Amino acid sequence: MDPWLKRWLFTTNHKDIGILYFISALYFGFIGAILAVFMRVQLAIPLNDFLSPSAYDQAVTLHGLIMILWFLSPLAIAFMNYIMPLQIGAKDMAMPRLNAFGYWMFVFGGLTATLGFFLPGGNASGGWTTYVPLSTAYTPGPGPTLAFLGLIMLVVSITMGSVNILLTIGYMRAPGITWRKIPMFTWFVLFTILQMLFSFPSLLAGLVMLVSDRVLGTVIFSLPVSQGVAAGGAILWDDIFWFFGHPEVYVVLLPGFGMITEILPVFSGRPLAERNIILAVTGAVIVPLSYLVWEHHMFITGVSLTEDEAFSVATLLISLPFDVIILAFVKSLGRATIRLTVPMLFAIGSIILFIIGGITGVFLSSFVLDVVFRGTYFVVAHFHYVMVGAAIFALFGGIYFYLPKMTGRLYHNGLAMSHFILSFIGFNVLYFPMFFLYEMPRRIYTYQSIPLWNEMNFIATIGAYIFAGAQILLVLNLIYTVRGGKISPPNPWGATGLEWTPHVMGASSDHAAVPASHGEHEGAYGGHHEEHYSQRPIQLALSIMVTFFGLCLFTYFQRSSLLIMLAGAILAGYALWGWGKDDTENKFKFDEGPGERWPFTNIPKLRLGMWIFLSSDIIVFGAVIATDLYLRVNSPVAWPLPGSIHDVTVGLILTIILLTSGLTAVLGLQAAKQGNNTNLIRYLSITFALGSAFMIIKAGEWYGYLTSGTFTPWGGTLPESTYFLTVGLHGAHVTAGLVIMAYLINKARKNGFSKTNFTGVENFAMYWAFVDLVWVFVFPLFYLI
Amino acid sequence: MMKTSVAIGIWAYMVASAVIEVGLFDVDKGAINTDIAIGVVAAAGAAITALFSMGLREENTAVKYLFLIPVLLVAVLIITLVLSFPLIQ
Repeated sequence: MDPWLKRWLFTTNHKDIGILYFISALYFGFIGAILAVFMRVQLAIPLNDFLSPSAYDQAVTLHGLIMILWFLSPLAIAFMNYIMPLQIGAKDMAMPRLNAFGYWMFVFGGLTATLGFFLPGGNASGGWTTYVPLSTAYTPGPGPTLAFLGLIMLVVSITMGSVNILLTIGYMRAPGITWRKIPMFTWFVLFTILQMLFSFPSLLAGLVMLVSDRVLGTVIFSLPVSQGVAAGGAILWDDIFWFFGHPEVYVVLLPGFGMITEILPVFSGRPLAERNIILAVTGAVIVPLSYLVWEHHMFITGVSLTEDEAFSVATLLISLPFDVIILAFVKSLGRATIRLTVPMLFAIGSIILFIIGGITGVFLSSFVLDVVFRGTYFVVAHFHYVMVGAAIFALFGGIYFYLPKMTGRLYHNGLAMSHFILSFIGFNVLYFPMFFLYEMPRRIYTYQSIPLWNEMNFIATIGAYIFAGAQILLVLNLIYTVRGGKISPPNPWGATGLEWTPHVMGASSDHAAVPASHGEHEGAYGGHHEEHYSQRPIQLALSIMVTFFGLCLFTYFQRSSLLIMLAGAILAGYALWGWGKDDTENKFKFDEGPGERWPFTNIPKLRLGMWIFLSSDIIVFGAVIATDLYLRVNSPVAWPLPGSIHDVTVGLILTIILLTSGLTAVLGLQAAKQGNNTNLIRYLSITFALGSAFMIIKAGEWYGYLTSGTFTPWGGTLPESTYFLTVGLHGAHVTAGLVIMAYLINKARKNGFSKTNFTGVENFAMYWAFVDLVWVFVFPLFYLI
Repeated sequence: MMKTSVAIGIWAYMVASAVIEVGLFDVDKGAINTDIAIGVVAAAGAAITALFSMGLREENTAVKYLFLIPVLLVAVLIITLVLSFPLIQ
C-alpha cells in the first residue's frame, strides 16, 4: 500500500489523528454551512419556494446535528489530540488504537448520518433534537434511522475518546507536570471530558430506544395518543435528550474558553487574571450544575411547576460562574500591552459575542419569559451567539494560534485578518436581527409577509452570505499556509507553554523531562513508525457502519438486511480477532509514564479506564431503567401483574447462574494474581460456560415469547417494549463479556498472564461484576415488581 | 486481593437476596410495600456487588467518586422523570 495512504488510514499517532479530526471537522462544517445557506436562502423572502417543506426540515435537522456534533466538538477534539498531549509532555494518548477507533467511528458515523439524504424518503427531519413523535411516526423511512445509527456511532466515538483523554491527563503527564502546572487548555479539556463522559451515554440510551422503536417495532416513545401516553413519550424523550443536550452546550463552549485562556496571556503580555478562580468556578460550579439545568428546555411542556422553579434557579445560578470567567478575561486585558494579532482578535471577538449570547440566555432561564421566547428566533439568535459566536470564534483563534505549530509555517496575515473582519461582521448581520424576530416561530420553512419579519430575515440572509463567504478565506489560508507559507520560527508568538518548547527540553525549570513527542525528531513511540500503524480501528469502525446499514434496512428487506449485517459481523469479528492478536503479541504495549498520577496513584491505567467506562455505562442503564420506571408510573393502561408473564422460577435460575459466574470470575482473578494459570483457565472456562448458559436460557425464554406471539417486541405495548429493550441491552453486555472471555481464555492458554500481568483478567472481572449488578435490578424490575 | 471465603460469602448473600426477593414477591405480589422492600434488597445487593465484587471498596477515593457521581445523576434523572407529570396524571 502507498505509504502516504497507509499512514493516514492506519495511524495511531496523536498528531496525525489530531490533523485527521481537524480536516474531517472542517469537511463536515462545510456540509453544515451549505445546509445553513440553503435555509437562509429559503427564508430570505416570505413565501419562498426554494426548498420544499421536507427539504427545509431535513436541512434544519442535519445542519444542527452536523454543526454541533460533527463540526464543533470534533474541531475541539482535534486540538485535544494534537495540542493537549504536547502541553502535558505526554508521549501519545493513553490508548492510541482506541483513539484511532474513536476517529473512524466519528467519520463513518458522519457519513452514515448524511447518507440518508440519498435514500427514499430523505433524511431525518425532526430537528436536531430529534423530538418524538416527529422522529418516529412522522418520519418513516430508512434515512432517519440511518441518521440515528450514525449518531450512535458518534456517541461511541465520544465515549471512547472521553476514557482515553481522561487517562492521558491522569497518567501520561511528564514528570514535573503536576496538577497545579497543567496548562489552562488542558484543564478545560478535562472539564469538557467530565461533561461528555456522563451526558453522552444518556443520548446513547435514548437513541438505542429510538432506533428500537423505528426498526424493531417497540413503542417506548411511540404509543398512539389513543393509549394516552403520547405526551409521556414526547416528554420522556425530552428528558433523556436534554440530560445530554444541555451539558453538550458547555462541551462545545469550554474548549473554546480553554483556547482563550491560552491566547490572552500571550498577546496581552501579562498572565491570565484570576487563573485559580476560573478553574474553581468551572470545575466546582459549571461542571456539576451543567447536569442540573436540562429541564429549562422543557418549561413549556407542562412539567410540574416545582420542577420549573428548581431548574430555573439552577439555570440562573450557572450564569454566575460565566460572569466570573468573563470578568477575569476582561481583567486580563486591563493595563496590558495588547498585540492585535488574528488569534487575539478572534479571542476578543469570542468574548464579546459570548457576552451577548450569555445575557440573552439569562432571559431564557426565567420560565415566565421562556413562555414568550421558546420556539422563536430569539432562541436561535441566543444559542448561535453562544455556540457559534463564542465557541467557533475561540476555536478559529486556536487554529491561527497553533497553525505555525502544526504546519511549521506562518499563515497569510492579510487573509486571516479579512477572515476575522468578515466573520465578525457577517456573524452579527446574520444573527443579531434574529433577536428582533422574537415573535417568529423557528423551524418553519416559510412565513407570510409581515413587516419587520421580511426585513430582518432578508438582512440575516445577507449576513449568512458574508459569514459563509468569509470561511472560504480560512480554507484558502490553510492551503496557502501548508503549501507556500513562510517557515515559522519554533515559537512565533513568544508563548511560554510546554507545547511551544523545541524538541530539546531543559530550559524550563518547571519540567524535568523531555517529552518524547516534541519537535520533528519523534521518540520511539511518537513517530510515524510502521510498527505503530494498526488497521484494526478502521476495520472495526467500518464493520459497525456496514452492520448499521443492514439494520436500517431491516424493516424493508429482511433477508438482504440480515446478509449485510452478517457481513458486518464477520468483518467485526476479523477486526476484533486482529486486535486481540496484536494484544497477545504485545504489539502496542508500552510503559506508562513516570509522572505524577495523583489522585489515581497505584491504579493501573487500564483498570482506571475500565472504571471510567463503567461509570459512563451506569448512565446508559440508568437512563433505560429510568425510562422503564417513568413509563410504568405514567402508563394509563394497567401494567401486567408481576409473575403473570415472566416465569419467576426461570428468572431466579438465571439470577443464580449469573451470580455464580460472577463468583467464578472473581476466583479466576485470584488465580491470575497468584500466577496459577491452570486455575485461571479453569475458572474462566466455567465463567464462560455459565455466561453461555445464561444466554441460552434467556434465548429459550425469548423463543417461547416470540413463537407464542403473545409477548413480542413489536406487540405494541409498553411492558413488551421495555422488557425486550432492557433485557436485550443487558444481554448484549453479556455477549460482549463472552467475546472478551474467549479472548482471555485463549491468551491464558498461551501463558499470557502472570502474577504481575493480570490487568486483562482484572478488568474483565470488574466488567462481569457490573453485568451482575445491572441484573440485580433487571431481575426484580421485570420478574417481581 | 479478596479472600476466597469472602467471595463465597458474598455470592451466598447475593443468592440469598434473590431468594428473599422471590419470597417477598410470593407473600404479597404487586403490593407497593412489597415492591419497595424488593427494591431495597436489590439496591443493597447492587451496593455489595459494587463494593466487593467490583472491588470499589479497595479503590481510592477518586475512583469511588467517579463511580458515585453517575449513580447520583441517575437518581436525579429518575426523580425528575417520575415527578414531572402532575398535570397529565
